[in-house]
Amino acid sequence: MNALLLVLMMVVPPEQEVVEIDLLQTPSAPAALTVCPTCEISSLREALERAPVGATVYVLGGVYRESTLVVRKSLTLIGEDNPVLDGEGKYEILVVDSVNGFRIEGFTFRGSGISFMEDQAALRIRNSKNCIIQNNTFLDNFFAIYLESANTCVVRNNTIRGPGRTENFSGNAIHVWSSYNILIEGNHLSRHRDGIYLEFVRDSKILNNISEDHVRYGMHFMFSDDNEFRGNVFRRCGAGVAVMYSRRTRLSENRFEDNWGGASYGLLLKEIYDSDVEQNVFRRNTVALYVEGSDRMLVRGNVFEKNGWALRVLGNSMGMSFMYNNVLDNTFEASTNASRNYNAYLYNFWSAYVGYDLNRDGYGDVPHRPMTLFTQLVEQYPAAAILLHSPLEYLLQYAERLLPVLLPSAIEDDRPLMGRIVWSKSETSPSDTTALKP
Amino acid sequence: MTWKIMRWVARDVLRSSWIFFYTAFFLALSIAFFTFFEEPSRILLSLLNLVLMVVPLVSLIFSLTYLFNNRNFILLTLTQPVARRSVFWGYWGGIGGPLALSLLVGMGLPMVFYLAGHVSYAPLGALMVAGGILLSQIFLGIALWLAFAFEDRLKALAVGLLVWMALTFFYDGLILTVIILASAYPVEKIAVGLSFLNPLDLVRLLVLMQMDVAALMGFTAAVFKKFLGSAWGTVTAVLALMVWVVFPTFQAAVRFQRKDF
Repeated sequence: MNALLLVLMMVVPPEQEVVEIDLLQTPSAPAALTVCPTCEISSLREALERAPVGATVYVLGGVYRESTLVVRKSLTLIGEDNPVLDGEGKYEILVVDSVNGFRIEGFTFRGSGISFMEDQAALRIRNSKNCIIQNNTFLDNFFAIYLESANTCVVRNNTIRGPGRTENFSGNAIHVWSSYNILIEGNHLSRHRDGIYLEFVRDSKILNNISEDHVRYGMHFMFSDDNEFRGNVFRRCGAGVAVMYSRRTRLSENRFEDNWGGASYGLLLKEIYDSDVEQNVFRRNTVALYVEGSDRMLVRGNVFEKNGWALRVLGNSMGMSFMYNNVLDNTFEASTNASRNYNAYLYNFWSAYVGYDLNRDGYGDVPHRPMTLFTQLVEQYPAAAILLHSPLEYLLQYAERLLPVLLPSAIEDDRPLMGRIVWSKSETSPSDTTALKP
Repeated sequence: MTWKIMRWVARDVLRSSWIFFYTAFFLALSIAFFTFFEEPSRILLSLLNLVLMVVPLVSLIFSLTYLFNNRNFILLTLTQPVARRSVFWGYWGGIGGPLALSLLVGMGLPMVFYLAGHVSYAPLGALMVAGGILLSQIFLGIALWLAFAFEDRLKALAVGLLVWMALTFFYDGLILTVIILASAYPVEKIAVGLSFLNPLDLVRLLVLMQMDVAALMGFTAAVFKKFLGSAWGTVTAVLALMVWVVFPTFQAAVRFQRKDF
């Protein structure tokens, strides 16, 4: 009974996913081993070898330096009083290979090896399914958690801090390759190369993580369809968040903040199709939202505040709906290299809008063109940015106000809102706006 | 004797309502910015615009009018046994001192109070006040040159305004034209080079490079920073500004020395 309970605990699935419990892998042997430096079993390697399939191994406090440990059977590893697994900067620490049902919690992994030939990780799960990795700490590793063909896994509430070295000398905090049904939730990731890296990952959820101070991207994914990213914070990353070559991605209620630098983006979309970017907050990024070669995007209800560029859309993006966004106080509101507009910009509030609303219906009576002449010049001739905040820039602004014909018309909001849109938390459409009366 | 004339001119300048309004204008705007805006970077950016647009114009026009209004008195002084050199440098310091003082009071003083709470912005504030003072000295030099080159005050004013417009707008237009025409080539270095030749661009970029907005200039900013970061760049920047301060003033001095009033 006890064992069965343990087995059941071990394979607690993430909500709503169906888990196969492979009974053949779970014998009836009572299974609980304890490892500590002064115990009968003082070596974790020995414990892992002796533990029957489905056992629980309790590891008590202490530092374990046992080169690479490989687990090839279903196990639950529980760390008590913070046992430390030390890679001594030389090797991978724990490899889980071809296992159905694995759970690890309460450990500290530190100092995995650095290699330029292979991706050495503190914890690697390979060709496995049904795993839970929670409440662990990862310090100064090359890669921290590496899921490789690992399906239906939960990575929850881990703290992962990297060494903050240069791109070549640091790996990713959570690296997932060719997997599905992954839940990455509530982790705190910092100082790695990329915070979260997904490649060929589908039907997964990335929720409420904090990813900050990474050398390169806060999150980076590609060839990953049907994923949801909600409630995450990505801040102070060298290049922000970059997502590429994916379909049906939902990015909502995330915060992209302080990704500031010569080549930093809040969110960079490259060849992303049929995806939603909703109710995110973009604050103080060099380029808040960069859209390249992405079709049929819905960008709705976001806040763009105090960015260099709020929106940069390249001409090869079509069918984007940019609606109900608050665009506040950005140096450049929007920019494109296209001469024609293939996207819809409607019902946004632009703080730079200077039009009027005579019939008081909440919409400005004249269209708003967020791309100014100077913005266009900088888009076409990047070196022209040297004239930023020069009297000439203000002269150009003044001139286009007098002669609207000067304004580029590639981006135009025909129905700009007169007041800021206020969203209430639970709703998916704007409820109360200071101006909008549907 | 130079010192005596300088003190006398300075006292006269300080009594004029122009300099009073100039100081009050800066004081009022600085206090308003500091009170109504929250972000230091935004306030400093607004003040930078004032420094770039208002300081040169006011310094130029004020100096020109003062010199032409006091033309007779200058002549009278020259009939006395006083060296021409003393008279010139007396006027130079007598006008330049109060101009610098009004910037220090109008912009520096509110900054001291406000930036006490944002110490990290203090060097930037100091750089801006210094830049403002430098610009006012440059345009004082230009005014002195024009005042002793032209007999007609209207002509002098017209040329002065033209110089101001050229440095403020036309020169940037020229840079923009070069950038557009040469856009097929790596034009960043040329643009940075050109910006070193105009004191207004140089002061603006020196200030902006210390701020977050530098990131928006992308590669150009990187080129500028790299050049400025090198020993050569620093020397060139200081030298360029010094040439602008010294050259017009010495031209004026030479003209004054030889002028047949």
